[in-house]
Amino acid sequence: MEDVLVVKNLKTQFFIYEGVVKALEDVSFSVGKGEVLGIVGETGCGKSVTAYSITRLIPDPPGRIVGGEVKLGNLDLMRNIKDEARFIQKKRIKIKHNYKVIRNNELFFNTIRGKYISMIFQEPMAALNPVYTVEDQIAETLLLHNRTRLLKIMKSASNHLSELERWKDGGDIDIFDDELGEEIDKIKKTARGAESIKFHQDLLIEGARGFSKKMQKYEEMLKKSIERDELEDRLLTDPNPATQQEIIKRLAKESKKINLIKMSKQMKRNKKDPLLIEARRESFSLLESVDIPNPRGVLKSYPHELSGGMLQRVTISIALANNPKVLIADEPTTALDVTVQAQILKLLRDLQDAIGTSIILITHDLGVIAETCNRVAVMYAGNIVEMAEVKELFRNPKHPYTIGLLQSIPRVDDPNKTLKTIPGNVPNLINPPQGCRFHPRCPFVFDRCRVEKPVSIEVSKGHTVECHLFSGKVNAE
Amino acid sequence: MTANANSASSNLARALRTKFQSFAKTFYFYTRSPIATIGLIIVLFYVLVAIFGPIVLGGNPWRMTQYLSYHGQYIYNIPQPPSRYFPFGTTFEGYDIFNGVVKAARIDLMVAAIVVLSGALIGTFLGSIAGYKGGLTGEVIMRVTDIFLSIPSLVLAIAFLVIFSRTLNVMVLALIVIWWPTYTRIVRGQVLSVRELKYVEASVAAGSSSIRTVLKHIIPNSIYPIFVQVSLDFGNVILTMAALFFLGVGFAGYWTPEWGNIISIATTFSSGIPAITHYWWTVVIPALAILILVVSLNLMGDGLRDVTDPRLRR
Amino acid sequence: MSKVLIDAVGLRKYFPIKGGVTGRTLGYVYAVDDVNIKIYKGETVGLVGESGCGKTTLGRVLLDLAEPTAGVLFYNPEDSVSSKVSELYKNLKTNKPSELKKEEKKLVEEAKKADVYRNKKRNREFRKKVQIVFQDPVSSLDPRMLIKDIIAEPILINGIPTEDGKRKKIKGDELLNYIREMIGEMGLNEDHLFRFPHEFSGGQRQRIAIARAISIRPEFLVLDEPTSALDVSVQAQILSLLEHLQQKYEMTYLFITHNLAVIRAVSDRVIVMYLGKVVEVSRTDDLFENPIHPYTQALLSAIPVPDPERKRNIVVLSGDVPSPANPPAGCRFHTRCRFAEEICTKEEPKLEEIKEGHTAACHFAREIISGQKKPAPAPTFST
Repeated sequence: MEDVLVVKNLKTQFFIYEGVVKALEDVSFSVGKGEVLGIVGETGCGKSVTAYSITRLIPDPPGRIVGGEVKLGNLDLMRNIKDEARFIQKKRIKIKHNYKVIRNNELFFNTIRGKYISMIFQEPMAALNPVYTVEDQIAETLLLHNRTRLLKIMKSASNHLSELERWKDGGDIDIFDDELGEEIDKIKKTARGAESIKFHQDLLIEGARGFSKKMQKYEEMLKKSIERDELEDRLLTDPNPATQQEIIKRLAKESKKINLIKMSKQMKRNKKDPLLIEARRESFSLLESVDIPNPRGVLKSYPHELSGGMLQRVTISIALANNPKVLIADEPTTALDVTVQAQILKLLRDLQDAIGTSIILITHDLGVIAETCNRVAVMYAGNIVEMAEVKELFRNPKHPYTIGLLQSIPRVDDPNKTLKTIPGNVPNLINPPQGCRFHPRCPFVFDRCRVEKPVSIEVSKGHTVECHLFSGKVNAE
Repeated sequence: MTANANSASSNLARALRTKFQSFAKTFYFYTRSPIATIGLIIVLFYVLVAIFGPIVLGGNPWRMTQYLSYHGQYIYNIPQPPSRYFPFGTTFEGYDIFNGVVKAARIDLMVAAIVVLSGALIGTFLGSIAGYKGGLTGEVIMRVTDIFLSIPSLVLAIAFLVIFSRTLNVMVLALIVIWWPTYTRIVRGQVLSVRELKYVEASVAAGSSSIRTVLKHIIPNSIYPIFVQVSLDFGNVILTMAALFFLGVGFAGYWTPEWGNIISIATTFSSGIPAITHYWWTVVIPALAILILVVSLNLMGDGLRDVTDPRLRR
Repeated sequence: MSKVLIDAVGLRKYFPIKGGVTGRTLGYVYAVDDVNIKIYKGETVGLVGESGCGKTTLGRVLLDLAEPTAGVLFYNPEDSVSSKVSELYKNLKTNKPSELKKEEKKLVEEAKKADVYRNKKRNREFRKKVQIVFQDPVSSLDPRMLIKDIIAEPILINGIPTEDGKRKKIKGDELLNYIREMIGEMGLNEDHLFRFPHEFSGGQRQRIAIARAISIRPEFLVLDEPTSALDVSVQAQILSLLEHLQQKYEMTYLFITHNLAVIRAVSDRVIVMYLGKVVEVSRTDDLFENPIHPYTQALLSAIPVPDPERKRNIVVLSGDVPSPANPPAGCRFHTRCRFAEEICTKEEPKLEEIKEGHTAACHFAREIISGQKKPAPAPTFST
């Protein structure tokens, strides 16, 4: 399986009053194409920090990614992380930021986030802006990252205006072989009822008219946007770091030129702007694809008017708007009720089947993991202690922590199971235990655990464990 | 567990140590901001001047009016520029500015402290009743507060001073009347949010009476914004007082060492703006004394707000 | 069967929605609507439902932390109230006081004396017998108090029970030793007493909160989602601690949670709530094996099971929970129910005993368990 995202030795620390919190300690994993990787662990084990580190959303100060590699295609997202800041060792560690590098990285990451990697958060209410309508917020991400597609559809629609009008009048439509054809196929498949199809038709025709009126301007825009897309794609595929550097510089320069606020204001004024109309149609179609009843009403509503489950559907539609390579879902169902959780998990699975995005699902609920994921990584105190296929992990857990975790879950389906507990508490990561970080709570602890940090060992195919119990066996074999 | 760990005094010491540690942490965050630290140092300097200045200096600022010459110089009525003998110069009527400014620190800071602290006390009392009890009592308190807030504060103070008498006591009273409503508002807002917290409910569930709950849980947890407001208002009181003196409704005569009053001496006795610009030190020096203190108090208040708001702690 | 400890009759709690300039009441949130429950001595009752179903409000009303809009609460009713009284109260909403007969009036007077809400003296006694543990271990401990002061608070107010059944107040070293003993039992050590709450992890804070609650040796403890904010391994620790404490101090628990797996692990009986109404009450095993109410069925099927090889049918409920401010007419579940028919939209089902010890509020309860009634084609799917 082709790996979409490879994380190697990721190390994140938080510099706070009490000391340095070693939140992530050499975290490594990879996500295959179309795979759902679950990351499970308790509070403070670093699962969310992992997600935020990958997308560079760690608040700084106090957090900093200290080292490691995150490869998206051929591009290392952390390539100049060490240039961003210097550490001065005094009584407390002082950080000297290099703001120029940070600003440039930020500009470059704006092209990655939302387009190649997107995120769903635990609190959908907090993830959406309360002063904008749902439509504005979905359209924003489309306008930012997906202009090429929107313009292509509009262009094709303006070429086929007469056919579209015939379609609207009740006639049938021939399938075109470009973007518009695909889109019409999709509309026919996903649209619910005649009213929904009419909405699509109206907007397509209106947009096409707008496009043909100022053909030249939009053609120009399309050309530029295609160029930019090509640049971005080259960035991910080109193996040469020097070329990457150059492309990043060019992208950053262009990003500075685009004034998003100005752009959106201009477009708002020009209600007939085909880009805006198409973004609205696309938002509508996205909401339909996440099974929202009455998508037209939802488009016009503000986040506080919707329920938690509905909002999470909206954030999912935003996250998937640009067909990202990786979707990171950080506890997407924790704030929801079980019946709604079941809906959302079903939706995520269906969408994943349909568009093939890789998903990193972060949760503390092993039940959710068991039902949704292909592979699982178990985290403890900033380390991935065990990683395996989901069936293998549940059938044959190896790490003492995983075993303890599985035994401590109350089960609905098994009344006679006695709950076992893992003694002790999660360690303080400012002064984590020496050697294996789990050793103070481990029932199988022996001397080596207290001094030496275990390395990852493959016990069977695709099943790795960080535990000294198994290193001995492998050595003996 | 050792036997002497049980003794009452060591337990008290442990409790105190924990509280001190938490204070030390807050102080560390405070000193992280250099500007706030500078503000604190300047304010402390003013406090020291207010305590020891009058003791060290002695004499009256206006004793100069009694002599026509001093150290061989003719001083009566014409302002003298800063010199060896008058570090800040003298103002009209032979008033020694240095002496006046130093002595004013005590009066200004004392009045500000009395006003702000009593305002805070009244505000905390009324605000916590209004917030916790709510209902009609709360409504009445808040409406009265609104009425006081709706009258321009300076006008209210002038009215007080003119109607009663122009003495120090009346001025303090007038300023307290101006200041309590702000605190009532702040405390009420805080109490409204704190009383919804679970530990308050736990205390109620434990059978605690309303008074006990308010004193033990609600006030200690809603008082921090008050500290910030106190430090900010300190400066405001001094400014208001200066304004009252400047408008000529201060208390007790021309010679009171008060910063605003020293300025007003210059403005009353001089023959218009050219004279003041010529004798610039008569206005600028007392004004600077006010300015530096008020700015430092504001810096200190900002710093305090930052450390008491955990979200801003980094 | 053991004695009834708490008998709540016709409890209602409506929160007014105020609006407009004058702050008039625009409507009500029907958080708890006509709930009748009995809790027996020594048992653990699970109260389960989704967010907004009124389970937390019910817990608060049961402890008199919120004043009910209507209803009565008898504590230890078998000592003071005849069953006639509570029977009468159950039907009282249909009778106007003026229409009451003489002997009924007498019963009403009797009930008032026994009612926790109306009798102040009884209420004061009640306070010493009941305690609560909250969900959020962060906000349930006063951040400006030392742990020892937090735990000492209920003792200072209520005293501790002595062997002869009275209460005595303790102070100073005696108090500290008492707290020290108790905190040892909670799995904390004496060092922790002189710290502030923010220095503790969630699990430890919850232990402190439990220590505070049981410090006055209550008879009845409401646990409002005590483990929802905790990790599973810590949750297991807390659950076993609670079980140990229950046996040692002979407490009765009302365990409020949305997590059915926890309910199954700890409780003897389960009450299921939906939108302010009790929809099903049953012994735990019976409920999990043979749920009657369609809502309970859906709820049970929606819980993810930590076993990837287990295939199961999930009943996906369409839509969201309606707003409790504007609950649907008739059966409140009919908007999402697979079995709903016309009668469900009009008539409210009563809580009836379907099997022994198993009551449910559904018009078609008997048909559903006998399999006569088939659900409408619903979006079930298997994993």
